[in-house]
Amino acid sequence: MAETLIELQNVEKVFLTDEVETHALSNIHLTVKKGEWLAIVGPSGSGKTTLLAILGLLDTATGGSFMIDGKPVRDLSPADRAHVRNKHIGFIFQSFNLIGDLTVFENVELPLTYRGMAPAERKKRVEEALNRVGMSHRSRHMPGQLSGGQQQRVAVARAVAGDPLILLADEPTGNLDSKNGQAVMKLLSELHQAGSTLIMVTHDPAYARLATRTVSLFDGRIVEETGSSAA
Amino acid sequence: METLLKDLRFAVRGLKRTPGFTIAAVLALALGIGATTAIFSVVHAVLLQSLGWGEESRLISVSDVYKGRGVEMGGAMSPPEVLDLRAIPLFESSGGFSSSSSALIGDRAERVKVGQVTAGFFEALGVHPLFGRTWTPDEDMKGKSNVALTSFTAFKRRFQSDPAAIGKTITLDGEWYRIIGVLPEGFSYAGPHEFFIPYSFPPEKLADWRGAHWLESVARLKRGVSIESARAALKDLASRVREQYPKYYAKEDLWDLAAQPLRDRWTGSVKQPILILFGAVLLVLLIACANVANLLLARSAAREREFALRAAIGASRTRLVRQLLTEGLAMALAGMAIGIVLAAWGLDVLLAAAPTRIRELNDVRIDRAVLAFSIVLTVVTTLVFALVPALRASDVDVATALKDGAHGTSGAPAVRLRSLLVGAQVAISLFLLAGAGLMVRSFATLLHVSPGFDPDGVVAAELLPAGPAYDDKPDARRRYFEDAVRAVSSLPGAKAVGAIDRLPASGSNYSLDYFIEGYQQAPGEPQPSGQIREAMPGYFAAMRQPMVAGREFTAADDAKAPPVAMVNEAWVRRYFPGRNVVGQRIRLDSNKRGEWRTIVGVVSDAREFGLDKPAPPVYYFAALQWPPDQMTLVARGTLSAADLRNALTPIDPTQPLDQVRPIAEILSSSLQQRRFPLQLLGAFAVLALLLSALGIYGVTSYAVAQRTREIGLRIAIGASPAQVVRLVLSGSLRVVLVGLAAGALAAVAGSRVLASQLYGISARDPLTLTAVGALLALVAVVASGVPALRAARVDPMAALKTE
Repeated sequence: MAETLIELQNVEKVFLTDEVETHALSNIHLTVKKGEWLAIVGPSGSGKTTLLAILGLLDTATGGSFMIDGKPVRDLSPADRAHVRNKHIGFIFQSFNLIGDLTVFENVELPLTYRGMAPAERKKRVEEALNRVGMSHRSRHMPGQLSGGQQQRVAVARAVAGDPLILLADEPTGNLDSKNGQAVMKLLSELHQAGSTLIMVTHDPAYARLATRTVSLFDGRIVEETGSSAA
Repeated sequence: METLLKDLRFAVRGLKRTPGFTIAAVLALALGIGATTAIFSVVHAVLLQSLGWGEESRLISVSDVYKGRGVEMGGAMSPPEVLDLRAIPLFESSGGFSSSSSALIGDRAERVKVGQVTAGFFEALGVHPLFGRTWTPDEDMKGKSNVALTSFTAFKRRFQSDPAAIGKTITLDGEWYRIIGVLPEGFSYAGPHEFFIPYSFPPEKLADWRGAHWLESVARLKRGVSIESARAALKDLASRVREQYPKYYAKEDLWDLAAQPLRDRWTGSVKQPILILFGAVLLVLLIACANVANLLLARSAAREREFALRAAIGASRTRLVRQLLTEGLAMALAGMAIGIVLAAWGLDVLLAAAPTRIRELNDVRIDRAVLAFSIVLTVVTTLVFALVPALRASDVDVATALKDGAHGTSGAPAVRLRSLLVGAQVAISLFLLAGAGLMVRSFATLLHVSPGFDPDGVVAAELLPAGPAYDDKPDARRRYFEDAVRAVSSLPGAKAVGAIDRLPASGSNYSLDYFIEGYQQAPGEPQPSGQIREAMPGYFAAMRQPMVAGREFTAADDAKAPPVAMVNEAWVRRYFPGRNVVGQRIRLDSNKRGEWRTIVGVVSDAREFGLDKPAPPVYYFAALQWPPDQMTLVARGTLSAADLRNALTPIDPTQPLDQVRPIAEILSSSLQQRRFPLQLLGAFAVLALLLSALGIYGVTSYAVAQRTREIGLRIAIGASPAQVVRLVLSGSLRVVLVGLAAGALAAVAGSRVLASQLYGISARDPLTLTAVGALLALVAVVASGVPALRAARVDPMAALKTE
């Protein structure tokens, strides 16, 4: 039985705008095991991205409990949250989010720099990550010189370079054509097979089926779960 | 360090990618840092750095002070008074100094500046010769020794730095002097002097010189002695001297001895203008910082997604702030590099405009200390302009900013902050403009003051006959002066020629006590005293200083004729208001010139102490009756300085001429102390105005860009271009008006600072404040009008598609 990596209990997220309460998430109970690939699906406005932001410590839940690797993380200070994100979470965004002023190598290196890793170790990890996504030959290029598919592969390399506990992907193929989308999904599959824990938001049922488990959100609530939580 | 270098590298790369932003920010910083560095180099050289004397904290200047004439006066000491100081046990050493020029006879005659000093002067200053020695008290006495010290500059230039210069002789004013020492490099006192010679006091005359005051005096306090103790000791000495020599120290004069730190003696007159300018330039730098901060706020709005991403992958807020501060530092370092080049380049221009006192006190340059200041200034500047934008930019809502389609908006707090910065810029600009405006008006008022003569078309030449052929030989001097006037009068183009011992507004003054026949002193009123001048026939005509009554001196008023005098209108107003004084007699309170002199004419007033000071009562001697040691020849006509030199040099080629220049130039020099802060403050105010205009333009442009969709919508539903312009202008000008009000309040509150620098105008002059306020408002309308007009031309279809 794989050990539990993420545990959400009765998590809710309420936005207050001009004294009007909007419940973006309500009563979320979710457990993610190590090595699992979880897909989060649902229509626009169902709370997928909000849930992913909370899972990635980019946003805070307004209620409930949230543990990562057995440790409560809901009430961490901003500095501690940054530390957890840096060390344990890798992000893959729909729009790649590479920094235009940095080379491919530097983009991948950036989270390792924030971690305070020694230069030689950083270099080794970046090269490994770029090799893994097949982009080592473009390490000196600027993001603007790459295609969308290549940029997303670099973003994947950046996410995995630090060897995080969890990879969070928000519509990773949303800005790609089908060929590049499939290539990226193949990459994610390989990462999953190599033992990575993946949580992916997608609206594409075909890609969701690649995951080991799928949770469906509607109006901020989990309305359906399919698949097994065993990795 | 590796991370810092990496951050710096990224920063430089990012700045290169946005050249418009980078150029604007670096230029603003370069101007601010450069101007501050240049002014600091003056502050450092004049107010902070050693003036080349040893242990300055123990150095004091001692001076005479008279408190019994209604106003406190004082200054130079007499030789016996300077020698009296040697009796004060609290002084380690003391000495006297005066500056003159002498004819140095070599291959040709050349006029050089010579310092005459008593024994103990160099010891008091803590200055030791590089080679050789100084002189002993015994060598101060006439006939004991003809020795001289050479400055390091003269040692290099005239003796090719050869130590064998010691023992060589030079001829100054016809007398030979043996070089006994070389002064160290960089030493100067009251400006550069090529040689220093002892006084050679005639022992038999020394006692008579107690009433002749021309020496600057310095003393070095023994270790642990405070200036208060020194003042008490000087008071005791003065009291003893008054009792011992009642003939020289009339009770009603309330004569005393005063002490002040030597640095204050030399920097006192320039300290306030320099500090005002330093304050002003720091305000300009603050405006530049506000400008760059505004640019950074706009830029960070555009980079919101990047910061969110950095935060998402683990950068803490501190890390983001550090990254942004590093970017700020990269810009500031570039600004510093350009600023130092600008400062080095502008320093010569600045010094050319500076009062002579500043140039003479010290070598003003950009040295290591000034560079160190620039570096510290750059770091502080970075914190000032980059910290707030960095704190704001790093406070990013990561989840929102990373949503696909999200784009940077600075939000209401950032808009408020940017408006606040613009308001502050406007307020500081108004403050500086008000200062500059007041000084311009003050200076304009001064320029309209008549000097009491017509300076146009008059050239002056200083005549200083000296040496065995002229010293103690009044007839020889008279002949020299008469020959000089005759030689210039015979030149074609000469309309009127004369001479006087001290030109008005030249900074050279001389006053004596006198008796006036028929004048009854009121009880307690001190003896009449005032400025004395010695004029040759033709002087007043050459200067076009109109006669009011009687006649001018003529060639007939010579040594054989009855002694005559002239006075000015101020003298008449002071002693015989409304009366005809021609025929009245005056006698000097002096052994030598004690005969009665009959007033033959009254001349109108000239501004003897400069345009900003009222004309004092002046009593003129006929120079032909008692020729002074030196005179200034004045010639009206179409003559050039070269014409005068060519005519005067052959009279006695061993007597080189000095200071041959138009009178207008001399008058202009007398305004240098006022012109210097005016020019710089004016330049700073213009710079502040430009930076503020840029700031207003930048913020308005940004606001227009942010509201493009809204403006497009307004136009689509029928807003006219005028309405759009009004909409944009009203937002921008509201901030400007608040800034103007704050600036006006600050200008009124800070008016006391400038009061002492103004002439004929109130420091709270409402006209000036209104005028500069209107100017700033006009500039603000233009600066925000450009983006407002751009807004009026927004294509509604394109704007509405931008989402």
